[in-house]
Amino acid sequence: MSLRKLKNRAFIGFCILSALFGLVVLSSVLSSLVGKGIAGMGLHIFTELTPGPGSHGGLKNAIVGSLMLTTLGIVIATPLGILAGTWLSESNKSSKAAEMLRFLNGMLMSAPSILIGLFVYNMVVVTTGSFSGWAGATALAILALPIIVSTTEEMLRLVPTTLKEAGSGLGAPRWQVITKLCYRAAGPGIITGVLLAMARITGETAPLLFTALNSNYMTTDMSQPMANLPVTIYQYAMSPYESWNELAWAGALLITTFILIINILATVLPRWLKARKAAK
Amino acid sequence: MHSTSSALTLRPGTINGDSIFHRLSFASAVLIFLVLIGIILSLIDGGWQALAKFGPGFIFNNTWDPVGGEFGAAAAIYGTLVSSLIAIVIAIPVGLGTAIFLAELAPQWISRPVGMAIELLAAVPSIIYGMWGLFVFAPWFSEGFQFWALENLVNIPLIGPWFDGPPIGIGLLTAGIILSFMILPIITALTRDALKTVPNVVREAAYGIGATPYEVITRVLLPTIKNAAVGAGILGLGRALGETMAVAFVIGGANRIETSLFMPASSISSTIAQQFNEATNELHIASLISLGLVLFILTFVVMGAARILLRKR
Amino acid sequence: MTMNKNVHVFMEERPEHIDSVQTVSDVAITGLESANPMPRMEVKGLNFFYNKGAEPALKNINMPIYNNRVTALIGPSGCGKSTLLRTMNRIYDLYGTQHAQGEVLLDGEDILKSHVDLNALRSKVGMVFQKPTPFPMSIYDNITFGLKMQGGLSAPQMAVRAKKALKRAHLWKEVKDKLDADASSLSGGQQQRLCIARTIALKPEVILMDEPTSALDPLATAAIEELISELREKYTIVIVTHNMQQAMRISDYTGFMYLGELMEFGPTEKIFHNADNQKTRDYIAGNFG
Repeated sequence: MSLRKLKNRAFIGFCILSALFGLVVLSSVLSSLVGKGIAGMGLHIFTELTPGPGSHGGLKNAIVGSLMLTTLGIVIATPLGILAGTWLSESNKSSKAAEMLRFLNGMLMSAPSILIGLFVYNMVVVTTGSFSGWAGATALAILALPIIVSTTEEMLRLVPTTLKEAGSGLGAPRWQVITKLCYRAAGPGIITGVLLAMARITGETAPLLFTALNSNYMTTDMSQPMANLPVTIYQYAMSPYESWNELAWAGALLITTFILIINILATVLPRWLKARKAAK
Repeated sequence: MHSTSSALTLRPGTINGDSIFHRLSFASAVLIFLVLIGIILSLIDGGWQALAKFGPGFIFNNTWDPVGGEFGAAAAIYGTLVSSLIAIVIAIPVGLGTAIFLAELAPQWISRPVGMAIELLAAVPSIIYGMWGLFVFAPWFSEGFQFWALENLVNIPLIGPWFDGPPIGIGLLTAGIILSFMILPIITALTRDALKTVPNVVREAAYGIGATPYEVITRVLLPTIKNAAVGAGILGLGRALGETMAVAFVIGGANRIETSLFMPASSISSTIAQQFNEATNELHIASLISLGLVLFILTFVVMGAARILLRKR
Repeated sequence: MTMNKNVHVFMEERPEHIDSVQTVSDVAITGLESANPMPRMEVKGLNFFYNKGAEPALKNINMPIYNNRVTALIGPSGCGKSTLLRTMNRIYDLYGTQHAQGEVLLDGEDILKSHVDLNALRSKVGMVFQKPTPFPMSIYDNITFGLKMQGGLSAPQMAVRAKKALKRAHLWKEVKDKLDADASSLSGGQQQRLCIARTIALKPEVILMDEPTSALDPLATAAIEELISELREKYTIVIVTHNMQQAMRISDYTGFMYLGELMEFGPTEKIFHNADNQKTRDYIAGNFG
């Protein structure tokens, strides 16, 4: 075999091995999640509170807390993100201000999440004097915001100008053209962006450490420290107690499943929406 | 001056929806700017006490002594840089290889599901990687690699000392490897997408002169997407620098600079995560926030570079 | 002959207009002016720039747009005919950098003045685009989109208006059983008629059409052309077209444009058979374009 062919074979072999490598990692992560997670899973996870050191219990308060924090974070970030994305898409493509904000949005998207936690700690926790659900939701909202901004802008830019001209041509003011026509046309894509942002913040731990903190109580009071899954998983996994470790794995399985479902929803939902529209 | 009776004249005093909407959306856009400025200011403000006390020496001093009240960032910076470097040294070739496999070599019935699986890796939250790293990977790594390395690699000149340490599974090298798994999907996805933008005529022209896939890909395709590939690598690096939870589980939490990659170490983000809530004196808190400022600057520079490169494509 | 046609219109239109005072008076005006066409719009000394400091895309355009007539704008691509059309409802205003100089009068009022309420203007001067632009909503919502924007109509009134507009656009029979269906489910020709219906639902004075049939097949084109001939009886129409046969078939007046200038304007008959300008004659003869 010639050297050329040999090199070619080696190269192709390396590429195949690389792809296999990723698959091996993924399957190992998923199989240990399922294997160890199922062991600790049960109805008690949803009905019992987080236990004290070494004793048994569930994750009810952490699940409720996480759902509240994530939902609130998304509820705060979505209107702001859509509005900001709209401004970016409506602004002149060469506008310096828009270009800078687009860049800064990218930087905010890639800022380490733990720094968002420090920022919210300084802004909210220090000012109000206590860790709170509000602080946690704020931190999550800041994480979700840039994702929603950039998908909204991208999706609105895909709306054909003829649609906007036709709307304006009927005498509709610009804001109505945007809210009634462009949002409708770009809707499925924007929903995907919001869902992806939600998937992202659901698993975030670092920004909650110094904001929502954690709690062993069942509370829906957002002005109190709030139990949440990621921080609970972290604390329980790092502890020496076997019962806590087991709960951590169950929580990890739960949260990963939830995130995967949102991710699948994010790809399937827009297609479904379009198909339903066409069928009608 | 104009006739007010005209049907086409704007009536003064009517509510102008356009300007309200424009102001609302502009205010939201400005919010992005304010948050970013707020992050910088709050990091400077919160860390001021430490910055004022230690000055620029803060980043070169490798003592981190909460009891004695002496803080230097060198060990954490070292841990952050080295673990991230290990991550990209592994993830760039593997990510490129995977991207090439997906975009150029595999038939669609393989590349689609495999591509989706790799993207799934990106959806797994970092805390899961941390747990998996601590409970599954570290024991395997200790037995499967570290003991072997202690026997076989330690005596190699230059790189030998890297592997001369306790085979406990966790430490700087483990942190770097776990980070590489986390940034692999980004690098793969970005380079795969870049490869897909290369028009087919380029491939046809190259294969048409009898080149092998290896030659076409390395001499024609990769140079074409050079900017995107480099940008993807830097983006991965930026992600690795700021990653907290995965590292916090496996790096070991020792504020030292050691030659051995097997030794426990610490990174900026893991130090903040582990110590912030326990820190009681103000100087300790201020030092942790100053660490955050250093991390912010590091990632800002790296991410800024990546964005500029990716945009040039 | 012109008079005959309009009297005929008057008779035929009457039964349909018992519900609204406004339409009856519209018809009355039609009847009055038919003998002696009046300019509904007038373009005076118009220059147009796509960017500040750029070469003008339109140079000193002067032309009348006669009431209840179809005016066609023809010329090679890039000659500025679409640009001229787009000044007549100031749709160019959507893009910050473009601006117009001179006067465009609608019923004697200059619409280029800054105090003009663009939304009111555009509901008076409707526009139909090159490609059909159905909105991403139901057929019925498409028709009532502009009406809701204007306000002042009850739901039943709106339904009457929508039905009438669809009938006038010859679409009613095809869609009456699926008004809730998404507008994108219609064929291209149907979509374009929907856009025309959407425009006439607003009872505009003038309808601007920018190559409305260029994306359609011959059958759909014929349907739209027939529709335009009928619409002239109630509306003033300006149409940009690439197709000279089309201009000849449907227009009363024709303007020939070349390199941003209006070379010649006159009755269609004259432009096509007895043009004064050599360039016009060359273009009509197919010597360039």
